[in-house]
Amino acid sequence: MWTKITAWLRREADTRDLDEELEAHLAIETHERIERGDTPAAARHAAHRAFGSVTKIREETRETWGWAEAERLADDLRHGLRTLYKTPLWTAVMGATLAFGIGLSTAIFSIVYGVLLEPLPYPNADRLVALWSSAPIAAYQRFNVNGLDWLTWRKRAHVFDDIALARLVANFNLTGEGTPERLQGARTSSNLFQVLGVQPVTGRVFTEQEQQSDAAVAVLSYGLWQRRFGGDAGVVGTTVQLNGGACEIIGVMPKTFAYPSPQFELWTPLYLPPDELQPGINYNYVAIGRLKTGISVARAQADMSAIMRAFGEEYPASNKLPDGSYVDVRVEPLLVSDTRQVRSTLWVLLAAVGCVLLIGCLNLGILLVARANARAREFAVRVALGATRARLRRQLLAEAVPLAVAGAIGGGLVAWALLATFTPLVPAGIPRMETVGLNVPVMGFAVTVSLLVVLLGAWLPSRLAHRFQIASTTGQGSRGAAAGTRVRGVLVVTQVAMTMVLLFAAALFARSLAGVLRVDPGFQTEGVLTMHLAVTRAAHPDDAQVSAFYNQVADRVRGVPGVIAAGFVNRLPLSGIDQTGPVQFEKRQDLPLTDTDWRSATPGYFEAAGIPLKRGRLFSDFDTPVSPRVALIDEQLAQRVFGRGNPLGTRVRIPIDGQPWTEIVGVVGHIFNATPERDVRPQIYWPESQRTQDRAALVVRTSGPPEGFTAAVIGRIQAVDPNQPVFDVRTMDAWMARTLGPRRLMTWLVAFFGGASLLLASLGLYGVVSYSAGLRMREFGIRLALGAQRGHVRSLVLRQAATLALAGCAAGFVVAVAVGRALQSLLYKVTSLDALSLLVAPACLTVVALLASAGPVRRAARTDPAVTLRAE
Amino acid sequence: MAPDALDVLQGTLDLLILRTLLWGPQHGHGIGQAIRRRSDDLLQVEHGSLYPALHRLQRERLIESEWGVTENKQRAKFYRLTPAGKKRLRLEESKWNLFVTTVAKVLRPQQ
Repeated sequence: MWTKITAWLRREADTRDLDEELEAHLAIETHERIERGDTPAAARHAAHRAFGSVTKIREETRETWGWAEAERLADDLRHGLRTLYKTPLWTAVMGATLAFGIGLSTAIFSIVYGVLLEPLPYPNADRLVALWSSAPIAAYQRFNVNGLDWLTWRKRAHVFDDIALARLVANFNLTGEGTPERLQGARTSSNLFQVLGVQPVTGRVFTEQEQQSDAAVAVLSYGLWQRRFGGDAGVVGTTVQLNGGACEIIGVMPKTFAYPSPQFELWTPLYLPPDELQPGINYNYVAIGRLKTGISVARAQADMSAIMRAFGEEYPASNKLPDGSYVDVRVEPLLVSDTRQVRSTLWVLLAAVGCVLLIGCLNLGILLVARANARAREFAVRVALGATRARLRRQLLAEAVPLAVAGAIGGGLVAWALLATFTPLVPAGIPRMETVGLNVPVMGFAVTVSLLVVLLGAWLPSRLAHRFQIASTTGQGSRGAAAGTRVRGVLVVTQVAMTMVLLFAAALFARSLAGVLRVDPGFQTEGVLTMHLAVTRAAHPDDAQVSAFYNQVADRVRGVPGVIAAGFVNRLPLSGIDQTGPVQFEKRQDLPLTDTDWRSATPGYFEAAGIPLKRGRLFSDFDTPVSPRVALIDEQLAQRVFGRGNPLGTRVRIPIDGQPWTEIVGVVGHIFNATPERDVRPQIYWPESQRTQDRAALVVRTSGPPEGFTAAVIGRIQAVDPNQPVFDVRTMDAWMARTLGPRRLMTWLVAFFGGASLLLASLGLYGVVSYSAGLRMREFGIRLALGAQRGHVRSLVLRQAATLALAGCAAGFVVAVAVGRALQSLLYKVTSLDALSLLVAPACLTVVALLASAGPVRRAARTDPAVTLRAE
Repeated sequence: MAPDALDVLQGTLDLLILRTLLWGPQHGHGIGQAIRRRSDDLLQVEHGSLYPALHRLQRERLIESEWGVTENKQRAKFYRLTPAGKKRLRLEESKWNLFVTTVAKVLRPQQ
């Protein structure tokens, strides 16, 4: 290798040396001839004649040096660049197409890689799994874990190194120095850090004993440590005011530690009160386990299912499901579990952008083959002069390589610009966006894609067109182009088919999005301001004090001019977190338990959120902790349990011994609580005063744009308690848009990709139609000369365009049906065989195909027989 | 060229060059002349084969070259056998001898 490189570097000198050597040879021979008596001129002439062609000998000798191949390639590249330079518009369009295609696909891949593929930042992260409770028959694929299950698993399962438990919904109000701040943290079992395999950067993590004794200690995230404590190592061992009580900071985790997400800044011991450890209730936790080395997820799943079956047999009252099976457990890789919401969306986007790129490649191929055909005669002459076919193929490649290099560089820049621009706009709720970037694997992807571009764009068509029809071309003009025309026809049909599939998918998604946007969620989103607060328990130790605080705040907020209504609910609709449980009805104990959304609300909430009262009354200030227990149910629950009967006055309760019977005093409208796309369960509401929650959302109905009320509302809250942090302030419209963000993004992107591929395919179609019309100019001339109407010539060209477009649509139709079926789970109220979408896509394509062929049609009709016939 | 000149068999040119250089360093022109003289003008080495062969042998490190001056004070590039070249020559010679006797046996059986 080294000698090759040095030989390459020395080649200029070597060539000079060779020339001198051959010159010396001739000099010696001439000298000999002069000595034999020739005149110098005759001698020199004879020597040359005896020697033969100096150029040929020099070239043949140089061949032995071994870098002739490389030199030829350089020649080809030079030639390719010259060809590209001669057609600047074509080159610019192709380069831009490729840069755009590579850039887009690299940007999308970087998201796919960062979110779905890059391992979690923990040692041996492939052994980390999430454990969920599961009751497939009740449409609960995954739900949270209860404490007793966790203790059982730890005792009985042998496939794990250990299993950790965490309660993610934990609010911490940090008060004292600086502004009061609400921190999102998690209460965790002491073994969490060990399961994840992460040591603190300073200090320590809490012990099992601290966990069981509910010690007031906290571990900080690196970000919080930097932000609030300036990265001072002395903070370990000091105390801060957390939720109104003293809490000791014992350690700081490294920057990479982001369990369960980077928004979490604090970890404290998870105390499990013994009375909470019952089967079948208080599914409040998430569990993660570390598999023993060599144990597969499937094996762990089998073991855990067996354990849950045995456990269910011990506690059939709580764990037996109506069909006789038991509450199960679901084991899945932690990374898969974390990203399950966006997985299919991201793969769809990657596939769509891959199609766009492929269509761009096909364009390159079509145009390169067209040029190769236009140069068929040149090639034929060169073959006659001894060029090999491989050499001709290499020349096609030499035109594609500079384009691909330009495309790769441009693509890198495009990807960088796209990521820089759009990453901040990505809707919240897509996990792990922070790991997205142009890292080594992503750049590797871009390079691979560029290589594929070269292969697909140049090599494949040149293989397809390997019958260059050389023999016939030399003699018979344009007929040799027939093979190339067929190849280009195949490529264009492929393009059209892929475009049709993309457009079809875009139409399906657009119809789904439109459907979702039409959904009436059951509450009003306009003119509503929302914000969250979590009460400091030390300041309000009793539930009665908490609900009194809520009422006091709501009263004050109602005093703000322009506020129409205000109230609290413990969790907003569409919050993305379920809070559910079964209820039973006093007179209808024959019915199976009904699964419901549980919400605690204060008076004023329903007016503020625009949830209508259908029957009876709403909560009032007279519903207090000591007054008779009351509840509201929604119309769906009323209908399901009572039919047309009157639910008012009947009693309902949580089906656990000791839970009080509660009187139904009203029926309210049903709302979409989980997602606007799926109506999951009916709702039941308890008064905040009788079922108090530490965390609540304030909902304020305003008479003007709600944003303008933010400062005034927060002012009223802090007038009641200056130490009360407020978080997550949004209008209800923004709150709702947040839940639609991923769908909206997917729809727009797929539509955008569909549009881009439509543009590319029309370019390809235009290229083919106009090229083959050009080849047939002579034929058109003859036809016109023999009396054909211009309309007939027009129809000849149009017919070709229509044939290509229709063939593409037909092929695309077959693929679209399969693709639609694969996308079904991402659609909303649209079937995968949606007739409208199946019509729209080919209609778009046909129109564009006709537009693309308008130019060539006009040119063909304007053919002047006299000119074309004289030309050949 | 003599009317009954023989073509140099493919592959034997290397052998002839190496053998010629055994007598001492020689330039391209001299090598061609030496082969012709020693074959009584029956073997004519084409220049178009000679120079590529010389350069190939040099690449294989069987011979090496150096600029020098001829008896007539003319500049020329002289080729010289390397130790590897000598070894190769011995090997090629024995292969050639085997080839010649074998072909002879086939052509004149039972003699």
